[in-house]
Amino acid sequence: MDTIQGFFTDDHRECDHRLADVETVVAAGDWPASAEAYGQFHHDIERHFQREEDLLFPAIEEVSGSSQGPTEVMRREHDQMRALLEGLEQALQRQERDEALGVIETLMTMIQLHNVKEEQILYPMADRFLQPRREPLMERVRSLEP
Amino acid sequence: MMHLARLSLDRTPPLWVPLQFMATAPLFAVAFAALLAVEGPDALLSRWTPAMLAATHLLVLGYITMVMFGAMQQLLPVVAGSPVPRERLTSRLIHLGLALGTPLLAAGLAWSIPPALATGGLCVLGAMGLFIVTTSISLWRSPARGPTHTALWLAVAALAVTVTLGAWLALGHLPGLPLPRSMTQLHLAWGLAGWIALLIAGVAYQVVPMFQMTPEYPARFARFHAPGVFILLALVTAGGFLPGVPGIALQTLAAAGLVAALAGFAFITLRLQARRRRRNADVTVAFWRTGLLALPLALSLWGLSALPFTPGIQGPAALIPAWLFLAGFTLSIINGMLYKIVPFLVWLHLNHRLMQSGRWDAPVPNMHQVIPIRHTRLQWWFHLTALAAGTAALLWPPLLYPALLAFALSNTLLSANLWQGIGVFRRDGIRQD
Ligand code: HEM
Repeated sequence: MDTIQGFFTDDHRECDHRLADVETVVAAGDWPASAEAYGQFHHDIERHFQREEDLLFPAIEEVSGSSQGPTEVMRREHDQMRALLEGLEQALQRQERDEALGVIETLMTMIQLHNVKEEQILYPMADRFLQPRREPLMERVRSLEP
Repeated sequence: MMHLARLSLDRTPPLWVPLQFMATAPLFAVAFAALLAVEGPDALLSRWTPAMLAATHLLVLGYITMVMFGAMQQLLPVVAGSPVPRERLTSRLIHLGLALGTPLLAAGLAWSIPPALATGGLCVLGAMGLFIVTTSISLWRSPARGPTHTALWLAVAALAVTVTLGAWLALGHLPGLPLPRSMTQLHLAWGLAGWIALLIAGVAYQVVPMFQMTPEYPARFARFHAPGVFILLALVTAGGFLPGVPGIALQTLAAAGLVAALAGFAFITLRLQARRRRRNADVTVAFWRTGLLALPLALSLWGLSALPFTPGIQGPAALIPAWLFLAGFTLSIINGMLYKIVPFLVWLHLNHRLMQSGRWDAPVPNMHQVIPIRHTRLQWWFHLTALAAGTAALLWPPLLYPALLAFALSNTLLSANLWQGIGVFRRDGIRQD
């Protein structure tokens, strides 16, 4: 049985690796491969965002009785990352290598700091508070596709 | 349930809180170079020359501890989820105490000026005390657990020991008071292997896998490294108080253990970095590698010179391990980290401003636009040159002046790069208001 912590942490690592793959091909100036790698990364990270925004966060908000707490901050950070993704996509279309690498660096840092907060603080708490209803929730999380 | 709703994950302190420390620090390297240039090659004749003691503290307090304090002000609220109490006020006071106290303390040591030594010492001690108390409160309250959390606790405890011994030694430099020289060795062991090396290790467990995308540190290593180093330091200390052969034996064994533990940290981290997923050549990784190679080099030279059957190194060359530890290991890693922290914080705060003013579409410069990667790389070359020249000057003192010039230039360039980043915030932040 998956814990929230275990599943979402693994999901983070996979998205991280996808982004590292984008960086490698962009650095090599391989534009067709970049477009493909970016497509894969974008799909995975958007799925991760939706797993949280549509399923996990509402469940947390329900037990905590508030949508103003940590989940709101996490949603806001997702939006910041989406803005960076858009910048990256444009840089890739224009084949601007340096700009793309600069955006990737920024996005990578933003993602990592966001992940730390979720993995060290939010997920462990979610596992504690959502224990009784975790199985059906995770069932839906696993099958979500954007 | 209340607990969950109240939990705040958005506690980034104002930009100037960490940056005041980071922007001041490299200037102390310039002060270090200036002091040694004024005093000339005679200052290198032994570790006990007043100029050398003063220069050492310009680096360890004014530069290294300064950056570490700034990093903690940022790290604790963001990564440990627990802000420093009254962060604006405490960070101002800590920064002020350290920035004013360090040069006074150094002047007092270098030229035997008791009033400067006493005033500087008090300012520095006040800053240290305030840091230790507020950081302990923050760590105590933090919900985070794990190797990093433990290492940060132990680093702060080691700092407390270092500072207590330092205060005692400083009293000995005032007229009429005895100088407890037997404590110097313990003071520097707690400062270098405790405060500096444990803090770097604690931060490394977190940031190396995260930003360089390496495998995690082996769990058992991460769990036992910092407590092990701390216990070994305690044993070295105990050995210093035991009389006769048992004391010396204990101290020797524990010191050997320390060397092994610190070298182990360097090798494990280098191995992880060799397996990193991000293959893109990154200047920060280059800085880390430089530091992690300099550490075992410093340790083995020091170990060799301490062996009973070697002649021992005389004169300036005896300072090479200390130079490699401070400038080679510590400054390289700090320098590299500054190039991650400062551009990211500038980006983050610009982004916040935009969001507050509801302007989602305005372009925010990315991290490489905040500090151009070309300038970062150039400064890395200066840093390497300064490191090599510094080592060469300890072998052949006529090189002292060019080496000091290289070191001052490298850090002036670092300062300029950081200020350029801060300038981007000023310019774009104001334009977008
Ligand atoms: C926070 C980190 C600190 C570190 C890493 C550190 C490091 C060192 C080192 C490496 C030495 C030995 C120099 C040598 O052998 O040539 C030393 C000596 C000394 N330290 Fe510190 N120090 C720290 C803080 C302080 C503070 C806060 C004070 C005083 C307020 C202080 C006062 C002294 C004095 C007076 C000596 C000279 C002792 C003697 O003459 O034998 N130190 N320190």
